[in-house]
Amino acid sequence: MHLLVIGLNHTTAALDLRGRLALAGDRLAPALAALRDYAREGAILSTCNRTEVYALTGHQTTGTGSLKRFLTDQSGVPATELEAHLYVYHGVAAVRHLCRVAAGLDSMILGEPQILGQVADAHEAALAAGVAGPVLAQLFRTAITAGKQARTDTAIARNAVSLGHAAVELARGIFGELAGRPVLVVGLGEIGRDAARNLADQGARVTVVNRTFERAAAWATETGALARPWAELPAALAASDIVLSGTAAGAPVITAPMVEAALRARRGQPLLLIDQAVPRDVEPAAARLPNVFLYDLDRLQEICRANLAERGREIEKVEVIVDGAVNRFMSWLDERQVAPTIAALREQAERIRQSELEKALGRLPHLSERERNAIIAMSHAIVNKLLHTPSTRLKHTGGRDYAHALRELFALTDEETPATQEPRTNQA
Amino acid sequence: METASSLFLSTTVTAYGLSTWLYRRSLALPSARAAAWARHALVIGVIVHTALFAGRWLLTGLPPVGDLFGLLLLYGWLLVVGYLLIEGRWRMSALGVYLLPVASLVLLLAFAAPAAPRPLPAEVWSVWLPVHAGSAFLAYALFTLAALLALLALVQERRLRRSGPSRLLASLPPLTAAQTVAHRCVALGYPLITLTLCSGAAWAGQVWGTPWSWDPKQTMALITWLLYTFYLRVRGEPRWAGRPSAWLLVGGLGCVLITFLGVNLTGLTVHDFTGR
Repeated sequence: MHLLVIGLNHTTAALDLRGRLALAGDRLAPALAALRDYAREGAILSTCNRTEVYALTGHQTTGTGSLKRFLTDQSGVPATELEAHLYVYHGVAAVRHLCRVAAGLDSMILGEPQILGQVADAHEAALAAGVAGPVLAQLFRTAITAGKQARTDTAIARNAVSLGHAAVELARGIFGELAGRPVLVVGLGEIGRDAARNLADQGARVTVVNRTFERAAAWATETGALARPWAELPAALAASDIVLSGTAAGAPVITAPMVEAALRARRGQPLLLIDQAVPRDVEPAAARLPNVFLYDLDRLQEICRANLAERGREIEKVEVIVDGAVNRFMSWLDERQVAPTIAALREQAERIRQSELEKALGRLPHLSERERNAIIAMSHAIVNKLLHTPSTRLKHTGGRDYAHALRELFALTDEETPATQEPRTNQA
Repeated sequence: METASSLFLSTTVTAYGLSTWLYRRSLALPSARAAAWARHALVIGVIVHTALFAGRWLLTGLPPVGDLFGLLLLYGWLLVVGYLLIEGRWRMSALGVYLLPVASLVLLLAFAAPAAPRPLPAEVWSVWLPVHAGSAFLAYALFTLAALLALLALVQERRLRRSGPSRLLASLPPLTAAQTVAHRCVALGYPLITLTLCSGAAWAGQVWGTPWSWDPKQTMALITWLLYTFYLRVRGEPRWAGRPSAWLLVGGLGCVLITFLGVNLTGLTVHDFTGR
């Protein structure tokens, strides 16, 4: 039995190719069902940034070839085209890969949260399709646990690295609890709408103003916000704690005098202005007013970059967690091999005993029944006594490296028994 | 009595120190359990502190307001209890990280003061004493909390304006929360400090003949009172809101410290704790 993963991701393949390989949604269940013809156990992880097939196969080389055929058959992309974009990991490397993916180390945005859920979904789907057996199920469980641990015990997923989340973090830093806070969305720019959605999820009350009232009203009804006419912008400004501005206007729509008037009406309460428009929506002079917190697109991106760098410093800690998970899984796998290893050893011993017995009895044709039985009994006794101690010890010492060593020493590589083909090192 | 005092005092300071460390940990890697443990350690500290405080009072029959040791104990106790109330209502673990070392420092100062309580000389004693000293210390504790919160708000504002969100930001209280709680503390402390001034004047009239003699302590107390009056008045105005009022509160604490301790150190006042 051989564990491997084969696939492509955002670093090895462009969007179009990833799209053709995608096995998500309706295509997942039939693909999982088909996978049974190519491997003993299997699971598919397919997201917008990667498609990977995890499998347990009989042989390393034929297994790899078989999975490549699976991908070609499923996607219709010829093998020659696919070859250059695929990566394959075997044994321990495959285990480490899945754990790193679950922990967010292989993602486009380091530490992103979605991948953990996606790995969990892939696990469920494979179990439901009946194509994930005990080994893959345990592998996915281990990886998911590692992913969770990475996110709670390190800061890999902690601070905002997307513009929308950065805006929310700023709001929290100033206002604390966001439930019930008035938020004003000026213009219907992408980032503004994203951030507004995030804030609304936290319980904030969103108001929107746009030059064309109809579009504002449409978005408002869609999201449960309140729409106000453009002329009411100054009043809306005064009534809001957080302002997300992203219009397509060529000149600032929120002037410094407007902000000053709003501050007077707010009696000193701070005002957070997030200006995502290019060119600016808010006059830069407004930033110099007391209790005004103004962030433009450059500042937000700077913040996200700094936070991403901070996450980068956490990578080492996460690798330690991944190491632990990999070791735990490999121990588990080893222990599973103990019984089959003992069986294989006994089988080999039995084969040798049979053949030698035949040879010996062949050279002694004139033995009596009693003498024959004595020799047969001796051959059994030798084999049993020789194997008794190693078998018992193997069972009771947890079998960590012994099973592997036994296989090596007695050349027990057998199709029917799972084997770790790779020597266990610390490198993936 | 001295050794018992020292023992209780050391235990209290240790408990507060442990609590500080636990609060820091609970903020570094956000964990509700660590915060709960921090609170437990704090409560234990408060219990021992209260025992020390109450024990001294009961054993000697003298309220702890007559001497420096007792006053420092009281001050520290009020600070910590005040924080517990704030924590219960607003959940500001970050304040704990900075307040508890301050309280511990106050208690450590107490080590330097003579532990045996000494009664005030009879000619000075008056019914105004508990009113005056009690309101003064309640007010001082509240103003200290307010100043700490103001400092936290200032640091938070600086962080927000300079580098934007970062891990450290999460460990400080939100800006408006710190400002609001600071204001509440001052709002509570203001009538108390007013009472202190008035009861002080009444007492002075009783004992020294004149209610107001421009004694350095009285003058400093008046300046402190004026400062807080000013703060409450201008706090809501755009020009004074945010950083300027935060600095006012920090300055206010400075005045409080001068009024409470500084003036005594110069020896220029007749308002003395040591009963001379």
